[in-house]
Order: sequence, then structure tokens, then C-alpha cells
Amino acid sequence: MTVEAPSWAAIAGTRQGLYRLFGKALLPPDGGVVSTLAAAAAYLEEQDLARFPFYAAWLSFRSALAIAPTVDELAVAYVRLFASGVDGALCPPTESWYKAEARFGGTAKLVAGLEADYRALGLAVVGTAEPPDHASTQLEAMSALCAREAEAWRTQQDPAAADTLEYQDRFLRDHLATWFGDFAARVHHTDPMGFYDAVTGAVDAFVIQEVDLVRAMRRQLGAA
Amino acid sequence: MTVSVLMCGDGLAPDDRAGLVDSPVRVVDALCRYPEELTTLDEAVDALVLVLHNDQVAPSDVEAQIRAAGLDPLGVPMLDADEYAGDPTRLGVAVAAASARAAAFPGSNPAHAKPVFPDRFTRRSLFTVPQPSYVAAPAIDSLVCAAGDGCDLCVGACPQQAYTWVEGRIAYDKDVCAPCGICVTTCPIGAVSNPAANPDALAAQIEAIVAVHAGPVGVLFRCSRGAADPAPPDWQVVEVPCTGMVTAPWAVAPLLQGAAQVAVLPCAASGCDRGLDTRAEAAVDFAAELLVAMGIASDRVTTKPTAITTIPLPGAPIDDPFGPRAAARVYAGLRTVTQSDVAEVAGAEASLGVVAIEAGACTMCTMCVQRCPTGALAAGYSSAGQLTISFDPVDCTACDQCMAVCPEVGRGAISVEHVVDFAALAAGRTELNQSATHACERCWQPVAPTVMMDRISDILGDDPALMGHLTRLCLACRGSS
Repeated sequence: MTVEAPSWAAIAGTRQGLYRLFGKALLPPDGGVVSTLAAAAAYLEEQDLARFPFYAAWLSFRSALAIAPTVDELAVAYVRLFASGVDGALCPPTESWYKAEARFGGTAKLVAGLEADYRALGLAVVGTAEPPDHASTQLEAMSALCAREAEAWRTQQDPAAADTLEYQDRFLRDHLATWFGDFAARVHHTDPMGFYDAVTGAVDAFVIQEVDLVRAMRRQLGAA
Repeated sequence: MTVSVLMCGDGLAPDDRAGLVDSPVRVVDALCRYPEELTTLDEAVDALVLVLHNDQVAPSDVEAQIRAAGLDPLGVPMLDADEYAGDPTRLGVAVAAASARAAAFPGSNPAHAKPVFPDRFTRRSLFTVPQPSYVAAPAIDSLVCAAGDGCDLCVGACPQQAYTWVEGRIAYDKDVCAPCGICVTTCPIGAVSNPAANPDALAAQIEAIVAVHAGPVGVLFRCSRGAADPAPPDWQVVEVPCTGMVTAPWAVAPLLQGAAQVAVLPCAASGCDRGLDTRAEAAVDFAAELLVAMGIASDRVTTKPTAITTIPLPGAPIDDPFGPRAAARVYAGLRTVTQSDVAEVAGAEASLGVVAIEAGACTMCTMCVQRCPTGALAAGYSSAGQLTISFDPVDCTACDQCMAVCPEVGRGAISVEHVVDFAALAAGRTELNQSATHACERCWQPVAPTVMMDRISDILGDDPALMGHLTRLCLACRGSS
């Protein structure tokens, strides 16, 4: 039996789900988070993820989910890695920590610029306690852009889809891809083989893949 | 290590099929059209080789099934079934060699994967939207990369301008890159890797070719992306991303592994669309010159493979023949097996060099040492307290970075001769220059080499106050005075 290749709308929908799933995984854990993530991951697994090179990292993430850590274990790991420490968090999950000089107002400047970028994309950060430059916020923003792209493909508005791909390309290259690798490496050294190492490893591989894929799709559309 | 070999049975002649019964090759009918069969692979399989009809395959489908089977598509050699049709003996050697290559594959990561959309259509893809497949691309190990010391060899070597040096690190634009592998053979410290040109995998493949092929065999380096003529009898193909990446030591190394001849094949008729054929030809020309100097027929290394007429040289396997800085080992090995007494062979493609320092012009600033990516140039203090610069030709790749950074190069302070100098290689590390150091009047720490003071004095001789300020105290004491 032959498996049909997914349409670009389906691919965009899958990418939307992946961004959302990873964004959720990097939020402070709450009750039932592991089962929610596992259910979402099981659904996404059926979307032909093996077509993409981050699949090996995805399988590591699935394995970490299968171990099913308790919410208390996750909360301890989350606080230890991302929220506390003598000199601040061990692995701050925020872009500004990696790219801005806090003493000279760099953090505020970067966050203000990021919020302006969100506004330009028609997005606003509401309903979350995490800052605009938090990994989960940025992943959620990409999820929203992928949802917009999927809808454009579904309604055959190809120019709108191409525009959305351009926004994704810019956002990835200006923000997420510029610091997430350093963040993931920091988590890997601090939490080797732990749940959050598996999460950030999978997200890092996914973001690397996304930077290349989005640009290649734009080139295929004749837009890059 | 368990390696599985699957071959598409479509179009396979009954005799050929019968000949594969006792071989490691498992024939799967319609595998090109229905690669889902790959998911039935035994979980114990560590590596995979596929023999497919390239013109019938949708690469993205095959890759997806390979990943679903828990394997890495960039580490799965895919042989073209049509190239071996009717020649089961040659297929057997190719399969054994590809299996060795797959088994030696060290793995890849997402940074090594570059998405490409198909520029041709299969019957299956006509009815679906185009799907990206992934080809091997280079990735930089920033922990190994010497860009922080100013090295930018990959930047200069890349024919696509995919690399740029930005504030001590190399920025790589995968979108621009048309993976040719030249950066891999240019980087002298192995910071750039490409799964399609992994040194260990290549060495394993050639070892297997020599071990399995009956009688003298030629190793044919061929571009994996260009249209290619079929290999002549008794030649086995080793695919590389582009033959422009093949250096002279690479062209010679298979001879030490037991190959009778080596060919570096330029792209067929239309030539290389990136104009890189000349690089392969230059490497082969130098290799041939070296062979002649050692009393061996120059056609042992060629760009035009013909019938094999020679027997292999006495085997002299060396460690890591395709690794970074293997040139000295390869050339020395060749000199040993030929029992040649050749002293030196010079040429721009030598991949080795000898650095000379003109003592009267060098100020011992040691910028050349800091820039040298391989550590061929080194600085230290002698037992007599003299600052010394030494040089080991074994590690020199003639990259000329030392000349590029030397502030006194205009006065002839440093020069690099592109040469295989066997006497220098045998001598090992030697001292090139030395100088006493001027001590700080306050803390007695070194201020600067005396020869540098002399040079400053030459320039500032008419300003004794400034001269005194610069030479009396070291930087730390000057700051605290």
C-alpha cells in the first residue's frame, strides 16, 4: 500500500502542531501536562514526521515522554533549570539572556523590538505569564504563523501563503534560530539525558530544519 | 554491525536474480515504487545499502521510509541498479564496498541536511505536490573551528561564497551552498564535516573494494551529482559530492590501500556546471608529477580511466588516509613503498609546505603562530630564555595564513614554499627564529622581543621620549604607573 505524500497545507498544519506542542513543553509544568503532550505527540507522529531530518531527535523526545515523569519531578527540573539559581537561572529560556547586554538596557530594547515584530505580524502576547522573548512564546508565535499558512494553502490563496512563509523565514532568522541552539546546548550540559534535554534537543533540531525548509519552500515558490 | 542490502527487483533479468540467491543482497520487487517495504526491516539492522533504479525513485519517499526504519538516510548508500545490470560480479564488489561505507558512517545531525525540491518528476510525483528531499551538506563544529584565531580558509575556498567570517566565527549560508565538499578538504583541522565525504567511510569503502575485487582494481572518484559515464571494467566507483574536492593526497592514497590505479573523473561531456573540473585536473597533475619523481608511471593517477594494465604497489596502509593533514603520511608512505630517494617535489597542489622566516625582517610578534590553524608554527621559550618560533612541516598544509597575517611580510619576513620536502618532513620540528626578550624595569616580565624593540626603534628613533615610554615598562606596569 502506498502512503500518499502530504500536501503543503497538511505540512503547515503539522508544523503548527509541532510548534504548539514544543511551546507547551517549555511552559512551567501543570497537572496532566505529560499526558497532554503524549497525546499530542501521538497524533503528530501519524502526520508522516519521518519525512523530516529532525525525526531522530523527535524519537528521543517521544522516549522521554514515554518515561512519563510526574508533574512534581518536572516542576523541580523546570525550576532548577529555567527559573532559579545563585546568579539567575542556569539555562534562561529567553532570547534576551543570550543576545542582549542587560546593564545597558539591552533586554528592554530587545523585548521592545520583539514586541514590535509581533505587532508587525499581527500578533500580540496576551494570556501568558511568560515574557515575549521566552522560548514558548516564540514557538507559539511560529505556530500561529504556520496556522495562517495552512489556512492560506487550504483556501488556495497562494500569495498569502508565500507571504506567511516570508514572515516565518524572517522571524526564525531574526529570533528563534539565533539563540535556541545556545540554549539547548546549555540545557544539554546541565541536564544530560533528562526530560528537558530531550525537549530542547528536539526543538533545536526542529528549528534547524525549519530555517532550511522555510527558505527552500520560498525558493520553490520563486519568492526567495 | 549488521548491514542489510535491498535491491529493487524490477527489470532484473532471471539470470541476474538467480545469481543473487546466495549473496547478501535481498531482492524486493517494486521497491523503487513502493519503498514502504523498508519498514519491514529487521530492527537489528544497523546500516543499509539500497540498489534502486534512480530514475524511478521519489527520494523524499525513500528517505522517509529509511527514517521510519530508524536509520539515517544520509548514511545509506544508494547504488544505481541500471549501472550494474548484467554484471553481478561488479555489483557484488560495489555492494560490499557500499556496505563497508555504510557501516563506517559516523552519523549526521539536522545541520547536515539541506532540503532540495525535485527538478525531475517520477510517475508517482506527478500526482502529488512536490516534497523536499534532503542532501548532505557541510556543518561546522564551532568547538573545533579556528575562526576565533582569524582562520578563514573555508571562506576563500568556497566556490559559492556560502561562508563568511564574522567577528571570530564562520557564518554559513546553507541556502547558497551547493555542497561540493571543497570546504571539507580545505579545512586543515577537520572542523567542517559532510556526511557524504566522511574520511573514515571513504577509507572503509576503498579497503573493501580492494579486498573483494578479484585482481587489480582501479578506484574511480566520481561526482555524485553530475551526469557520469559508466565506469570501465575493473574500475569501482567511489562517489564524492564533487571531484573538485579531491586533493593530490586523496588521489594518491588509494594506491597505498592496494588499488592498482586511481581516476578522478571530471563531469561528463557538458563539464562541471560550477567550473570545478580544473581543480580535479590540477590535483591529478600534481599527483602524477609526484609519481614520476618516484619512478612510477604517471597514469597510476589519471582523469581518463582506461583498462587496468598495472599491478598494485606493495600495500602500505596508513592511518586515516583521507583525514585532515594526511598529506605527509600519504606521501611518506608512497616514498617508502617505491623505495624512492626523491628529495622534493614542488607544486601549488602539494597540500604541504615549508615555512621560512627571514631573521633580519621578522620581529617575533608571533602573529603567524597565533593564526596557524594546525599548530605547525609554534612559539615557546628555550632553556636559555630565548623566545623561539619553531615549525613542523608535517602539520603544514601550505594554507598561507601565516603570510596573510604577518605585518612584516612586505619586508620578506615570512614565506611559504608549496612543496613536498622529504628531508624537512623527516627532520620534524625545527627552530626558525629566536630572540632575547626585553624585560620590564619594574616587574621583570617580558615587554617584547628584542628584535621587535629594534624595529620600533628604527621607526621611532627620532622620538626618544616615546621610545622610552614604550620600552621601559610592560603593558601592565605602564597602566599602573
